[in-house]
Amino acid sequence: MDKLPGALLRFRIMAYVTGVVLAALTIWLVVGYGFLDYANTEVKPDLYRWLWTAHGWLYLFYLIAAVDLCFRIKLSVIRTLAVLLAGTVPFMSFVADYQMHKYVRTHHLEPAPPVS
Amino acid sequence: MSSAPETRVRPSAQDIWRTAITPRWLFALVTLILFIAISVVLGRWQWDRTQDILAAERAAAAEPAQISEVLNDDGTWSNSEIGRTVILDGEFTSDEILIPNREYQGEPGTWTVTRFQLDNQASIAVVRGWLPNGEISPPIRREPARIEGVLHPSEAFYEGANETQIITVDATAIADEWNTSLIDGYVMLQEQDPILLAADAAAPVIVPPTVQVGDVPFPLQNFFYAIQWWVFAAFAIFVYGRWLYLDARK
Repeated sequence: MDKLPGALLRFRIMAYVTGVVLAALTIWLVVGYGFLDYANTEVKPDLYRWLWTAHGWLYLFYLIAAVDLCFRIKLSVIRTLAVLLAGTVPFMSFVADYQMHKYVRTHHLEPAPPVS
Repeated sequence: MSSAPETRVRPSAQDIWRTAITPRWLFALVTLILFIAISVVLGRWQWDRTQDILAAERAAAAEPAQISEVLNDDGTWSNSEIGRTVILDGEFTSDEILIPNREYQGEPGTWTVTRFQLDNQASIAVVRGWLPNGEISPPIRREPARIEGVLHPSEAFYEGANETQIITVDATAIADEWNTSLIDGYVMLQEQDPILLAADAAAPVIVPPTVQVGDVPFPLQNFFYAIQWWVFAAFAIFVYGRWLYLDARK
């Protein structure tokens, strides 16, 4: 199980990268449509459009990292699906990351961290 | 994992098949097929949108515009309008010039350039077409007309080309010749309604535009969405297969 920390780290990185992009986009969406007239497509900045496309691809890498980790720790199907979907719900990927680490700790899957 | 016994072996194809036809895994299979169907449809929808946007942008770019929409307040126009088909309302004048050394389908000849006065009194040079050497375009009746043509920048082959004789379609040089002021650039006549020739003679041959316009930007965003849906579907197949394999191993 020496590969588990690597899988956990990969999942954490993707959970945070995807989560931060999605959180930024969610806030941007609310501000944009609420105050900046984004319903008029002429006004929508290119960066905003491209960030959504980028989130789609980031989510794919999130899926790969998540499935890899779920297989390693043999998470149940329902829980795995919840983790996968968390990447599409704003702020939920942070929760998923926290829960994964908690799960690994409580099931004694992770070797004790070295004392520094 | 220290607690896991190391007795697991690679499951045989038969083991996997027996697992796959249990009610639980048949339900998973139905879910998988549903997910694939939805992904393929959504991907297809984004793909169609990509094509629709492309078609709409091309149609918009080809759509003729009133010259007034293209002109800035000071009578200039921007380079992005080069190659745009424009509609002009006004009338041809008697100011006319022949530009030499123009071939059409391998035959030497001239371009007939006439001043077209717009309804708002501004003028622009219009290339009415090509005539073989020695022929002169018939006179034009002065009456209101609507013409359609492609916007070109002034020709500028080299410095001083027009010093002794005007040989390029250059708005500045032609305006001097006619003692008037012209909108920069010129229009290559493509359509004319009504035909305004006074005499019963052949009109200059309408020549295709010199400039070629590039294609419209490709809607990459929708294209990527389409691809993403299909990749998700493929990913779901992988996850199903991996889970089935792990389950069959138990």
